[in-house]
Amino acid sequence: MIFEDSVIMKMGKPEKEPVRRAGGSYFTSFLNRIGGVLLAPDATFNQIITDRIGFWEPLTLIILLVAIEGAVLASLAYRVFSVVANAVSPLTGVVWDPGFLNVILVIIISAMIIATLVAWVILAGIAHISAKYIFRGEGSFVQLMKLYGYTFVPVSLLILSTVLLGLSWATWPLTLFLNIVATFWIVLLMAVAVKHNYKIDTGKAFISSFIGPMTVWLVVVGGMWAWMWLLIRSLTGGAI
Amino acid sequence: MAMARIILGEVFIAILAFAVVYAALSPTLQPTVFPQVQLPWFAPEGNVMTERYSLVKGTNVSQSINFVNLDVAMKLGGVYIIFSDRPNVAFEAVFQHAPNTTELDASASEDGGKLQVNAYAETGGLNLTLGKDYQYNGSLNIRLGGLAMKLGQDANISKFAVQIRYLGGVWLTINNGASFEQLDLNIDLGGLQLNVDADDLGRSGVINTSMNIGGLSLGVNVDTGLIGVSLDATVDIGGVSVNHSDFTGSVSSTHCSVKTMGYGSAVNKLDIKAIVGLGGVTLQQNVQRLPGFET
Repeated sequence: MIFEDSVIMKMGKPEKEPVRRAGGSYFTSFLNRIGGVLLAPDATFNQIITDRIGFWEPLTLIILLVAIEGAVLASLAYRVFSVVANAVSPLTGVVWDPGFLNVILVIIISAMIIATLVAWVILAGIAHISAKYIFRGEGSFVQLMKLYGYTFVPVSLLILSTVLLGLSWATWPLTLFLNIVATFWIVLLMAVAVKHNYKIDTGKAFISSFIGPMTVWLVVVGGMWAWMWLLIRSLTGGAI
Repeated sequence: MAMARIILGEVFIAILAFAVVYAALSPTLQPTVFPQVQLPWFAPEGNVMTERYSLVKGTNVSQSINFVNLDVAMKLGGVYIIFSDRPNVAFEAVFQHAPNTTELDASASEDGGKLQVNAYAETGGLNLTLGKDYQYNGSLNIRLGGLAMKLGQDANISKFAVQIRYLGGVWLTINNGASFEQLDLNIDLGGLQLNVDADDLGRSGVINTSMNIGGLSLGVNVDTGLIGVSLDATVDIGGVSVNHSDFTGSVSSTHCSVKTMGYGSAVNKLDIKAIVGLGGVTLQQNVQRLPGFET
C-alpha cells in the first residue's frame, strides 16, 4: 500500500510531528492510522515508523482506552454493588452512600491504567530483548513501545463487549466471542509490530512478542510456586 | 481502502463515545437485573401446581376443638403464615410447586379437644392461614428456605418453634393485639428480621432466638407504657449495636441487656433473647422491609 505521507520521507524531509495529510486534518490521519492498524497492520506500522509519530499519541490512546474500559466496568460494578448493598442493608443496618461510585471509579480506573502501563513497558521490554539480542534484529525500544501502543486498538472490542454485557446479561456469548477475538487480534498486532520494528521474520517476531513474555510469565509464576513450596516445606520442617 | 480505514477509525471513536455515555448514564437509568437461573425443581412462572388443604370447624373439624397442634416441615422453599379473622378456619394450606415435584402431604387427627395437623411439603411455596378461634402450638422445620410470619390481633399462640436447619431467614412482624406465649426461632445459617410494631399485646410473651452464623435485626416501635420490651443478646464473634432511644441498660461490643423505659410497670412484656455465634445483633426503631416480604 502506498501512502501519500511516505513521499515526504523520500524527499529527505523527515517529520518530527505527526504528519497531516494534504487536504486532511490531524484527526483524519489519526482515524486513518486506527483503521489501518485493524485492516492493514503491516502497511500501517511501516507508515507509523516512517512518519515518526510522536510518543504521546499511542500513550494517550492507551490511557483513553483503559480509562473508558475502567469507567464501563466501574458503572457495571456500581450497579451490581448497589443491588447487593440495598438487599443486605436491612440486615446489616448499613446505609451505603451512592457517592461510592466515585470511589469505585477512581480505584478501578487508576489501577487499570497503572497495570496497563506497567504491562506495556514489560511486554515491549521482553520483546525488545528477544528481537534485538537473541534474533539480532535492528530497531529501537521506544519505537516498539509506540507501535505497541497502537496494538491496543482492539481493546475497543473489549469495551464494546463490556457495554453489551451491561445492557443485557444475555449477551454473554457475544461478549465472550469479542473478548477472544480482541485477545488474538492484539497478539497478532504485537507480532506484526515486532516484525516491522526489528525487520525480522514473522516466526521470530511471534516468539519475541508472545512466546517470550509467556515464557517469562511461566518462569515467574513457577518460581513463585517453588518459593511457596520451599517456604511451606521449611515451616513444616520438611514434613511435606 | 483509505476510506475504509477512516470509516473503521470513526467506528472506533463511536464505540468509545458510546461507552463513555453508557458508563455515565447506566448507573441511574438502567437498574440491574440479574439473570434468572431456572432451577429444575422450581416451576417457571405460569406453570405451577397448586394444592389446597383446609380444616374448618363444622365441616371437617369437630365443634369441640379449641387447640391446634401443628407439625409442619419443608425441605426447600418458603413458608408464609398469617392469621385470619375468618370464622371457623383451623388450618388452611395452599401449596404451590413445580409439576414434577412432590405434592403436599397433609393429614389431621383429633384427640380430645385437640386437633393434630401434620403437613410436609418438599419443594415450593407454602401459604398457611390460621384462624382466630383456636390456640396454636407446634413446630415448623425448614431445611433450606425462609419463613415470613405476621402476628396480629387474630394470632393466639401458646408455643411455636421454628427451626431453619441449614440456611434461610425468618421475617417476623408483631402487630397490635398479637397474643403468644413463647416463640423459639433457631437458624443455622441466615438472618432473622423481627419487627415489633404495636401499641398493645394480647399477653406477655417470650421470643428465644439463636443463630450459628447470621444476624438479628430487631425493630421496636411500641407504646412503652403498654408494652415493655427487653433484649438480652450475646454474640460470640461479631457485634451488637443498640440504636434506640427508648432502651436503657448495658451494652458492650458482644453483649447487651436492655429494656424499654418503664418496663417494670408496662401492662404486657415482651422478652427477647438472642444468641448468635458468628454475626451481629442490631436494635433500632424500624427495620427496613426486604422487597417482596410484606410482613
